[in-house]
Amino acid sequence: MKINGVFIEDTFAEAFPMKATRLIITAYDSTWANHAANALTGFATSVIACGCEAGIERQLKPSETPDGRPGVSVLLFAMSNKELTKQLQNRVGQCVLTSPTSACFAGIADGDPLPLGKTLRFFGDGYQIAKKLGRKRYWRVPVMDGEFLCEDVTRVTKAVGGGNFLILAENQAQALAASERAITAMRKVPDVIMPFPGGVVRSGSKVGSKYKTLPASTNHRYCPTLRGVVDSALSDKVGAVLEIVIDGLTSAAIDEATRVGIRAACTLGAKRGILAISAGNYGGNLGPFHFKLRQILK
Amino acid sequence: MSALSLRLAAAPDFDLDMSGLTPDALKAQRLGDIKRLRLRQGTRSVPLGDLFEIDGTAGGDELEIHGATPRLQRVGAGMGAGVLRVQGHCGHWLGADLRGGTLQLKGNAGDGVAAGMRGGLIDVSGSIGDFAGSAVPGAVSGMKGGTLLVGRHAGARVGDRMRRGLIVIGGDAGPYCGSQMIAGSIVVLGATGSGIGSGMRRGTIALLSAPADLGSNFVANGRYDLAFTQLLVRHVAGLKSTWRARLARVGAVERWVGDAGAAGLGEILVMG
Repeated sequence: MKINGVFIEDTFAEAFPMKATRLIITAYDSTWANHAANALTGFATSVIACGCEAGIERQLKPSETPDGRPGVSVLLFAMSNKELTKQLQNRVGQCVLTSPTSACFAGIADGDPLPLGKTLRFFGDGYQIAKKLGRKRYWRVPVMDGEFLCEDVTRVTKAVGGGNFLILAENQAQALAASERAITAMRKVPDVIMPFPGGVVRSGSKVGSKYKTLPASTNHRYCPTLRGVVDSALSDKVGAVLEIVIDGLTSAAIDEATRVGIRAACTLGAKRGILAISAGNYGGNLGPFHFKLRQILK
Repeated sequence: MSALSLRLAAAPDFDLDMSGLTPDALKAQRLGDIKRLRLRQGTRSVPLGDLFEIDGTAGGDELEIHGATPRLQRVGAGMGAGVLRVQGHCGHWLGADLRGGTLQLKGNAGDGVAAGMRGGLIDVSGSIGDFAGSAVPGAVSGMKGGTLLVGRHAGARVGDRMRRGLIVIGGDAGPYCGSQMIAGSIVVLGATGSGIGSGMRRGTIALLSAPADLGSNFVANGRYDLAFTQLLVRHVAGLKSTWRARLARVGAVERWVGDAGAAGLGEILVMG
């Protein structure tokens, strides 16, 4: 299978079940909403060492937010409810509560509750105010610029983490250009985030390492500088490989993001150095979700 | 399936206690049994079938009462679920101790509307008497949850000793609105009388126009653009479309805190 001369390998991405939630962060304007959202989603590229994977899903107009101010929709993914709860407390407490003019709301209506304002309210030292409007409870915590408004709980949903595809190009610049096109297109897909810097990761990993303390190490078969040294998966023409990792609230959302991203990456075509699209998997034995590239792109 | 409908056959001479005539209480009963239910009227009890013309199908989640008069007391009291629609003017304690469901009244009601309410929604199109959302006799605190909407005016002491929930008055509220409030929220879109927030410990009274008389126990706290105000305004505007235009211009609020004679953590927000 080829798209615009780019070879689509007959392989699949292998993904795993995760727990996720969506937060709506609002502020005086979109600049400050983004400051809070960027801080919240910082150092959240991989559960391997960050505790969670998080990213900005999309920008929200005032008409789309609970308090009528500009906002940002953020998704957080973790391996368990317990870890997600911990990450929420730390990240919202240190990055959103602290950010001027911010407010924080649940972005998912159904599912088990995870404490949000329920625990952060104690920062109010007894001066916090509970408000119940309809079925939702909110906390108003006095802070130096007025109040931090925070919903009592957010909701957790089953999700999928680790969808991915690889862009194999003749050199770094070409791989980067294709990745940027893919990410621009994928950011329009709802219910997904690409958690790595700029949405792109260069250090694709495999499970395990020769060093006992490391849970993961470089995916040596896709490192062009190791060609001729190891059992390389790369042809002689490949000079750079970049990966796009996708976390989604549903497998259908990851399907769509993969389809949109690969098609966008392939618009550069073989003539501009994009040689092939592949995907990372562990032989299909570890993750229950398999995203077959050719099936998705049909 | 048409809703079970009760139409008052003739205006009763004495007050009728309508407690127990709720959709959830009648759901499991057959039509014949419902007709034989006895209502307290003064010192005697009267079969429901003697007082009301009963139509529709039993077993549903909806109940309608037509031709209500102020002789009907405790309409919808203790209701737990379902929808109760009432047409006419009701007496006192409408929706007292309501735990869930929706009670809609097209008309006016007397004192003690939503007293001791714990959940659900009461929507009154007209005006109501005193002590809405207050405590039922013998209780320490008033309304503990749910939402009370009043299309027109309310009497004195709205939300007296209220602990939780939301009351919205579309018109004017009488004197001592929010007196002894423990917590919860009251929104008044019209004017308010004297003694507003008197003795309130916590809670929020949000007004579209400045109060005529704010006691010395309240302290000016400043002018703020609170995210909560917008959340509240949007929530209230979503409850009744006719209120939307009146709330559209709400921006920064003047905040007063008090009652300093009580815990002093209550607030009056002037949104106009």
